[in-house]
Amino acid sequence: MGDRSGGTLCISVAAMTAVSVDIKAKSFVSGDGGTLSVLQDVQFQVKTGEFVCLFGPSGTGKTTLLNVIAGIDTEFDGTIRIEGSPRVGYVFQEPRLLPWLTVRQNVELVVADQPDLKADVDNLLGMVGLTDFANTYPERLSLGMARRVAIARAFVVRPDILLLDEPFVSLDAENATRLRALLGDLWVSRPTTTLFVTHDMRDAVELADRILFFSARPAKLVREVTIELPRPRSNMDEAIERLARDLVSA
Amino acid sequence: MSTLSIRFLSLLGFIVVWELSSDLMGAPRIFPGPVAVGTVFWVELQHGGLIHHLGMTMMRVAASFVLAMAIGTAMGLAMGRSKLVDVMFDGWLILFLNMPALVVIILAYVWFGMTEAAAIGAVAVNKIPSVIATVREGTRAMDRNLTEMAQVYRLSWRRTMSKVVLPQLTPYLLVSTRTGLSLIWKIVLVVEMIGRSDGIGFQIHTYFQLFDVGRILAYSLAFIAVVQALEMWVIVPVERYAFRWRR
Repeated sequence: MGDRSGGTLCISVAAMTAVSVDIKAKSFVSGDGGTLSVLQDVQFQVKTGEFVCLFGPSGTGKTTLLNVIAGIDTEFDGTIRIEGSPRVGYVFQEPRLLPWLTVRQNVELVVADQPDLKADVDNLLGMVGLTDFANTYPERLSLGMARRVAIARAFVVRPDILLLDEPFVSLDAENATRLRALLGDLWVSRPTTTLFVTHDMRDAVELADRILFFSARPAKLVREVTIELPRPRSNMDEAIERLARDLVSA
Repeated sequence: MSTLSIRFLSLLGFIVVWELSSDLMGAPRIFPGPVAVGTVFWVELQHGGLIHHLGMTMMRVAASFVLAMAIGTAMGLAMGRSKLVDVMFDGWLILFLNMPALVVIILAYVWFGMTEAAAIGAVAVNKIPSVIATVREGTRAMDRNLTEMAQVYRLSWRRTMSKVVLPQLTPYLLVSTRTGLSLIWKIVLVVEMIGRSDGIGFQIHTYFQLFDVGRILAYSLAFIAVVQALEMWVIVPVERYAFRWRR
């Protein structure tokens, strides 16, 4: 697993639990006044620096799970424990950029009170390939570019935990591949505890250390697989495709 | 033909029709034409108190406008964001929205005396409810997604207000400004007519008693010109700046 499997320091760091999720139940009030159960008995831990994929069919409550972990949704039965301050970086399914701020201003906004992190904004814009668009307003960006801004914004806060909600959805294949490789590279250069929601097994296999499989609603944890492929994985298409096929058919 | 020349020709047509009908009627004291009103305007500007009275009226308009926008925006935001506050004050809002301007003015003068503060306060009270209603609508229409983003990234209250909330309210605040200026100046005239000894409203009242229609029109036109200038040189540029990000 590249340099992350090497020294004793890495092992001891990797052994730490960064996020501990224990949700007994989470439901919404449905349109007709009844209750709609979305999550039930979801328990798992994420180790510091681990990349975990939450995999399952669309519309099963994985986004709700991320919102609960991010602290946006507080009405649930259970506990979420996160080590550290904890700073959250969240790449929402829609980029959620402020249309009246330029690309640079959007990224700067979340670290406006931290001059030490502000210096990193231009670095990150360079890493996601948007230096030339730093002064552009979001409405002039393609969806893929807007997603890259959202990813830069999530990394710039040096998150204790990074949440990504299907960041490649509704992109064409070529753009999705580029963005996936970009995210993989960014993550290798800045190892971050990550929870990544997807319904695409190829995404999961290429990026994750571990994949958690969820059932249809109410979402339950049904299976767990550790991905042992070495990193970086951007040029291991064949092995990834094969493993992804095996996992889906299993 | 450009829109500007259409505008100009249309305005010119209005002035010509006005002059012709005034001539036809042949009662220049009761229905003076534009030339007569223009002459009076010039005389008042140079020798009369037009500048002073216009200044007083504008001061009152500005003070009530700022007061009404500040209080109305804060209340509208609170009611739009919190269901509890909304339920608590919704009844009040309907009461004040339907309270006749004249009643508010008379009560203010009776209770607080014929003072400048009572005059300005009475005008503001007339405008606040409509600002509240507009801003509340704007607050309800805000994008929850952006609010959640601000929450996740722990933006400070001030930054959330200035970068996330207010930009979303800008269209609603501009509507409030436009309708507000025209409403407020009309109410200011009533306030001045009833309980002030200067301002355009006071002058109009005086010239009404003297049956001097020319001066009544000259004073009205002076203020309309000021509002038009504000629209052209303040509101439109502000609007253009606020929406520069739009494609």
